Amino acid sequence: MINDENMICSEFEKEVYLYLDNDLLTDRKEYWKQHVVNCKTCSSFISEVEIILDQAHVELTEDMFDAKFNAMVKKAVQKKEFKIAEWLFPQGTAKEKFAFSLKLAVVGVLATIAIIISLTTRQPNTVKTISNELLDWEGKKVTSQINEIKNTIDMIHEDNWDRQMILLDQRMKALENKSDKFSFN
Amino acid sequence: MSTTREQTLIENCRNGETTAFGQLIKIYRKQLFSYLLKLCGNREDAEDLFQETLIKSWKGISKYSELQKFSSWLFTIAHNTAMDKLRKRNKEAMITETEPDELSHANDPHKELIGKEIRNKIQKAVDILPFKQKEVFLLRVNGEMSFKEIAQVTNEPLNTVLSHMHYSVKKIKRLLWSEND
Repeated sequence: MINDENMICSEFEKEVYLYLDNDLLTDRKEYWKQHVVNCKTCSSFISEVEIILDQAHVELTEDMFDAKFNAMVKKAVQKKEFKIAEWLFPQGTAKEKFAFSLKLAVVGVLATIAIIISLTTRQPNTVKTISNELLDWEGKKVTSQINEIKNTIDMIHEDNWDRQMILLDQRMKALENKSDKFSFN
Repeated sequence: MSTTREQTLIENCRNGETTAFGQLIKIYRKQLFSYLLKLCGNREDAEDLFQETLIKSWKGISKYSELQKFSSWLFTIAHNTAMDKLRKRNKEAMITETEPDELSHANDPHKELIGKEIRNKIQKAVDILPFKQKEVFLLRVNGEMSFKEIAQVTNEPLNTVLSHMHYSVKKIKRLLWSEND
């Protein structure tokens, strides 16, 4: 009998929170209501639970300053500006975002300095970098081509144009004579 | 604060009234801040989490459905924000070891002494609870949520939640009563 009673009480301990929340079926709730009335253990247990919850509710309540709260609300409702750190680390803390922004700024400054240095420093002439041997070889090649052209021109100038013209004239006449032989007139 | 008043404030928030948002959050300010403070263990982190919760709730107020209690919705955001942060930082071990902040008390010296004693005991008891038990206990105490709501927020079966609550209350009770004897 005592064992049965203990089992019921331990069962109640498990359901006491649903009982307090009124989240039990009506029959079950009525059953426990009756049990609590007749059982000192469960009656005192439910009182203890209620005391602990009430006490904890009071004692664990903390607050913040109004000014702080108002500033937080203001920050929450303001339209957010696009921030690269915010975009890359939406879950990051303020410190992490600040560290990332700082790194990004340092990299940006270093990159700018590098660009300025590269623009202001004298660059080596690319033509000068071609080896002299290559230049000599190219020079010789060009010179030989120029000489070849020059010789051809000289040859043309030296040739006897009049003689060439007479020869052409003679060939033309010979052709005309041949054509006369085959004419019908 | 009546539900009608709360609904009006929610509606005004949806229309972009920033002052209404401040008034709406003010209703749950203490509960929400207390929950975050006890959950993460220090004021700085609690304030960061509180701020993030405000940002998320302002952004998401248009998606809030009246089928859910506003306080449950707000605490769900706070809970998820805190969990994300804790998971990220892997601070679960650390937060249980953090000392509670100094607290303000009533003016009556006698009451203050008793109050301080009870407060310290409760705080100490809550601080040493395993994380899951603490989470459920605080959602119940600060969030004033039903256990069905807590099960939804924590994504745990109702029986598991009830079991966490059962053990947390048992431990707190043992600590309070045994030291009084």
